[in-house]
Amino acid sequence: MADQATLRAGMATPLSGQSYSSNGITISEQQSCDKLIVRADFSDAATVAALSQVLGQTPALEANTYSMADDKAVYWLGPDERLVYLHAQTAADTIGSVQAAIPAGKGAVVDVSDYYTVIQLSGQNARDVLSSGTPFDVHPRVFGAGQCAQTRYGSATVLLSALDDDTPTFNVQVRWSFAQYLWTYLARVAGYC
Amino acid sequence: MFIITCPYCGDRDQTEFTCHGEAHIARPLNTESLSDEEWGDYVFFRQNPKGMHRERWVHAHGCRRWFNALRNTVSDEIFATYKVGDARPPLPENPS
Repeated sequence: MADQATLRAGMATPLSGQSYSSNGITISEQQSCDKLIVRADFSDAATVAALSQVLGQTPALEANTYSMADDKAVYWLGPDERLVYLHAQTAADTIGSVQAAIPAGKGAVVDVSDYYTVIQLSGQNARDVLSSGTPFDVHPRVFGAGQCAQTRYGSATVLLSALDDDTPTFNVQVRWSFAQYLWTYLARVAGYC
Repeated sequence: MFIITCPYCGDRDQTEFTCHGEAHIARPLNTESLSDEEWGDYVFFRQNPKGMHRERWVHAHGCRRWFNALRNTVSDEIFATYKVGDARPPLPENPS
């Protein structure tokens, strides 16, 4: 019988890290990383200061933006909700210190590492592929590097983030169970480029 | 297809939202002494106006926050969106 570690490695990502290139567009599933949902009162200066210390950055305070520093990224999901990407640590190592930064009874931290996966679109046609499935306006004048948006792509609820304006690069975070659907949609659209 | 302004995220497509009926219905506090008729009124009966209507909406595919909207049920025009707990924006003088 396979042990837990083998099972976990085999299921590390729903799309097995595959990648696909067409004319001017590369779509690839990113390596898995641990993620936390943080619910707290971000209008409270003391809480923000304590969280900044733990996360190594001021967590994105403006709507539809994300902040990034060293090995962590913080995405704005709502006025009292942030999503933290841990690129180097595990959620188990971090969750305690994040919890300690929030006043008792005034927030929540949840490990959502295995709930989502991230597909990256990169290349000169990335914006066209993105705009073909979402009603959100991804024109560079309103959606540039440093911004993120929760919206939908086809029938999947996604979190879009713009990484680079020179070589258009976007991350599309999607729920695990929608990953295959979204991949098929994106690959089909990319095939027309 | 039209654009709705989420009080938290800004302008977004209608398909990201869902509507959940009339807003500003307070749950009665004296629940133990309510008659069946009063309970029925609270649970089932709505104004269902032809014209201006204050509604609850949720940004289901976005920030998932609830907010209120002032909508004309005839023309589908949305005159204002506002956070739960905020002052109610006045009715427009000339609803189209």
